[in-house]
Amino acid sequence: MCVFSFGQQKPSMSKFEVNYLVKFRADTASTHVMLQEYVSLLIGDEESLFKSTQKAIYDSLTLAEVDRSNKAAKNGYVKIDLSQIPTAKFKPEVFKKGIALTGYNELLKTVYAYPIEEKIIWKILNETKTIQKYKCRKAIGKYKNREYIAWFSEEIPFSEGPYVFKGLPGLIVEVYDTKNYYHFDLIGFKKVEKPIIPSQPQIQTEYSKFVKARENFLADPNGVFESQTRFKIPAKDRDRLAKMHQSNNNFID
Amino acid sequence: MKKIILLAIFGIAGLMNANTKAETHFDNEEDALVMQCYTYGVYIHCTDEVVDDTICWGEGTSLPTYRDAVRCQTRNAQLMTAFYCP
Repeated sequence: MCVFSFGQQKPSMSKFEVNYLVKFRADTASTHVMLQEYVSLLIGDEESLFKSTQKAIYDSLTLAEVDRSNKAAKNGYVKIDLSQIPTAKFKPEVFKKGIALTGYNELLKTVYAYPIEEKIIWKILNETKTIQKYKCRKAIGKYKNREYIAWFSEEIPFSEGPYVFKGLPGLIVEVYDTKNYYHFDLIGFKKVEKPIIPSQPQIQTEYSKFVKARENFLADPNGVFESQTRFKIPAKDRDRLAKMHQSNNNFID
Repeated sequence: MKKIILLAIFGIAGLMNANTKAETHFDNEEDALVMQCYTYGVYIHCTDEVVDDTICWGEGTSLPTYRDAVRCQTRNAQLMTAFYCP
């Protein structure tokens, strides 16, 4: 079902953009496969938005490709091929307004939004190192039962960082969990004005309800897909598709 | 060999009224005065197959304009591609 939003407020503008590279393991059983993607953190006066850079590119390019395909219809038939447009691999977004964090995540292209209640309590250590040109201090904290190590720089005085990793007295330049399942590295930092626009959610919910929906999907990916779309998955594809979706089991949350 | 595997309606774009004339053209981006429907195929590159869908927009549907139809079509194509070839 298609849902559109109207009457949106004028977005606030960023003052800075921080780009990170995230490397992550989507499947804990697959020890040698690390995915990687560029992600962006837009920082404004009262708001910030963290999301995959590829996500916006993908949406824009696919929309243009569908329009182009429609206009190139042969005998009234349109064929859409999105295979040349890389998809975003890192799906979650985090929007910060004041001190409130909102997470955005998707299941089968349905965007869920939920408040992020868990706060990271950081412990700042005396250890320092220089990353790129920035003098950084080490901090450790816990989020969703994972221990994280963050390196932040007070030379960049924003209490900001990728994803939910915020609240230190300087920008986080590098952060990773102790198993190195998720590893963010700063790539660039620049002044830039861009609109801060989080994804448009179809479902406003709580985190626990999003997790339940995801568990239901992983228990029966084909069944959930079929019930949402009324498309019948052919028997030859069912096992492969179920295993493929179930291998995506290492969520950062 | 590319195969068309199924005529499916995934993601209902609009309900077709049998008494309403359905037309197909893509150059009118204004609100449609009559319902317009078209069939499109989404190429699933990892299985080398095409899945068909039909979309209707304009009067009598939940998609008033061609732009709305394109957005809906895009979402359906993204969904199908993401499910088969994530």
